Amino acid sequence: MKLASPTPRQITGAAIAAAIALLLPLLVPVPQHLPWEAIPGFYAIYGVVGCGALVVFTKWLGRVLLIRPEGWYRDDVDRDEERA
Amino acid sequence: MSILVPPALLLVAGAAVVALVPRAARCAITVLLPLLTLAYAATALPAGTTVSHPFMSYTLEVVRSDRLALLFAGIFCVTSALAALYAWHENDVTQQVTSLLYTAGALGVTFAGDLLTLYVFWELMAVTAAVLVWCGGTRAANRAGTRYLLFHLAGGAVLLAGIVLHVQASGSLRFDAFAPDASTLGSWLILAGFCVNAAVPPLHAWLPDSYPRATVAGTVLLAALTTKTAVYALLRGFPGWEILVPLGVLMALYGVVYAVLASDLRGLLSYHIISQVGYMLVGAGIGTEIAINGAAAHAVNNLLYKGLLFMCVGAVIVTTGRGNLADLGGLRRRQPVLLALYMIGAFSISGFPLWNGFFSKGMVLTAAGEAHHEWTFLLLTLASVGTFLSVGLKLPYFAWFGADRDIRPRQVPPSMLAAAAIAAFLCTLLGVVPDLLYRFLPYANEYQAYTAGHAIETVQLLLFTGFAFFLLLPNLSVARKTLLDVDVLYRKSAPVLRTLLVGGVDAAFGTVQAAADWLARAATEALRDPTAWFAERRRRGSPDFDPDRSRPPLLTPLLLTIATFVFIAVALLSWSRP
Repeated sequence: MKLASPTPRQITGAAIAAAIALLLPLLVPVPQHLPWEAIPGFYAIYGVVGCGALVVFTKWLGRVLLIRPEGWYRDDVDRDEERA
Repeated sequence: MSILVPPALLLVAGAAVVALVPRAARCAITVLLPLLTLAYAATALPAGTTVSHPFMSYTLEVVRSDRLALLFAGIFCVTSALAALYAWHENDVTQQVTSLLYTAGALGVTFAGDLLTLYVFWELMAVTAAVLVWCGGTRAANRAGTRYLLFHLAGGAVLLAGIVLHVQASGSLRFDAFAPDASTLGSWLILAGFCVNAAVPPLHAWLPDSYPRATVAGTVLLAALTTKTAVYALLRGFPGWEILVPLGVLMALYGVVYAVLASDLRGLLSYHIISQVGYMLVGAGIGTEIAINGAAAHAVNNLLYKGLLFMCVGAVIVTTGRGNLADLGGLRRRQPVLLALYMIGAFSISGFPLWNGFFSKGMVLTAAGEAHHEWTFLLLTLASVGTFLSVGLKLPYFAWFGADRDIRPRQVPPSMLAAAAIAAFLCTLLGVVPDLLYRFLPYANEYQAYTAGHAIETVQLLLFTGFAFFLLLPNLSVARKTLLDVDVLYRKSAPVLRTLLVGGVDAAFGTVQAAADWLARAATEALRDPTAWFAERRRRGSPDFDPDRSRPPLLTPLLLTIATFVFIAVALLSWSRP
């Protein structure tokens, strides 16, 4: 599927949102509970990497193993549809 | 002393009433009855109340009320009422009666103080849920409902076996927490029985197999009760069982992987139930006060936003007649209200600040961090990413945005919209004022959700997940498909097993039968007329048999007799003549 390229306004909006989310911890002190929270913007990186990994992994897993054509189980199809 | 009625029996009686009253009154009763039951339970059964009956040499505690039971019973009643409101326009008496009985089962389990009561209501839930699946009315629903029933009866049998072993060993029917360091075969079997209903892989395939095939209203209730009743049972019976932590992480990830792949609207959300229940299992497995609180709060929140999500996609299915993302797209201008309500559910389930998933997910994660389950924390956060990706981005993008397929949906029935709006309101209300829920949690709450750190980290995580989604969008596609899962083992193996167990045995019996028949026939033929054996001998080789010529044995004695008479006659005559 072809994605409509984003308008300049959408890009600007996204950039502003990203900047706020990344720079806010510099203004507000954020206590660190867990070791990786010392990395600035760890959760932003984790979101991007995690999302990418999930998409790539599930796509691969679907291709090699999980995806079968519709109606692969014959009793998923109603008899009327089967006849037609 | 007043007699206290178990809340489940109120609903069972109500189900009987609903079956008998006129059409017009049925809907209202189905909506109001769970709420009245909730009011009754909250006033007449405060924490600490018990109702027990002697039964043979044991004591049945049909009601044991405490904070955990009241919390779950309360949210079960609210969800049941919302689902009934959502189904108002259908006014199908079978579903109304079954829904009330199903809710009665859930309440019976929730208030059960002993294992036998729990087991009886557990099975009531299995049967009524199967009926709700059958109400879907298609051939696929019919078959899936039967599979559901068989699977859950098997799970129930495991549970019962565990209960019998446990009672034999301990001598008591009471349902208390099993000690993790003194596990017996009985407690493991009970745990396995609970895990069937909690849809723990690999015992989960009944869920995405059956839920998408019920009616849209049926799915809303099904998605709410069975798994969350199992979560309740695990929280009560198995807190602190370490095995639940890895199982919960497995569920959280397993569910999102399939949700990212799925393209059937209700199939996607059904797989996502498994992911959500995973968080609750982690909470139960960690077993600290904040973990139990978090799991319970997450169950309550989940019932609200998952119900809301199922209500919205159900409305799309009813108004467009399409249930697959591959056939949908571009509905945002025609169904903006549904989109808005759906997104409230999606933000809640993804854990955005201001919505209720934010604090319950945070509680479970904080519990994992405090208990030094670092990997659990990271993997559950990954599951959060997958949640937002599948439920918050993929589904709404391909249903309401994406390619415009020029679909003209019908008007959404107002009862559906009303139910979804109430659920959305509750999600937002609890999200903004989490104290409303904190005070009902089983333990005193010290967790505060709205800290700058938690909010900023969550926003970073979800915002950048969103950016990655839009970058990867060209790689995502939706198509009509079948997703393989472990149910392939019992759905596709049927022909093999049938050949082996039925066909093989049939063939063996058939052969023996044929041989026996042949033997009997041959023996009867042979023994019918023994004289024929000799005739047969002679007949052989001469098809044109002439009986007149074939009687020498008769002719010879006749001739001999006549000859003898003649001889005697001649002899006498000659002798008598002097």
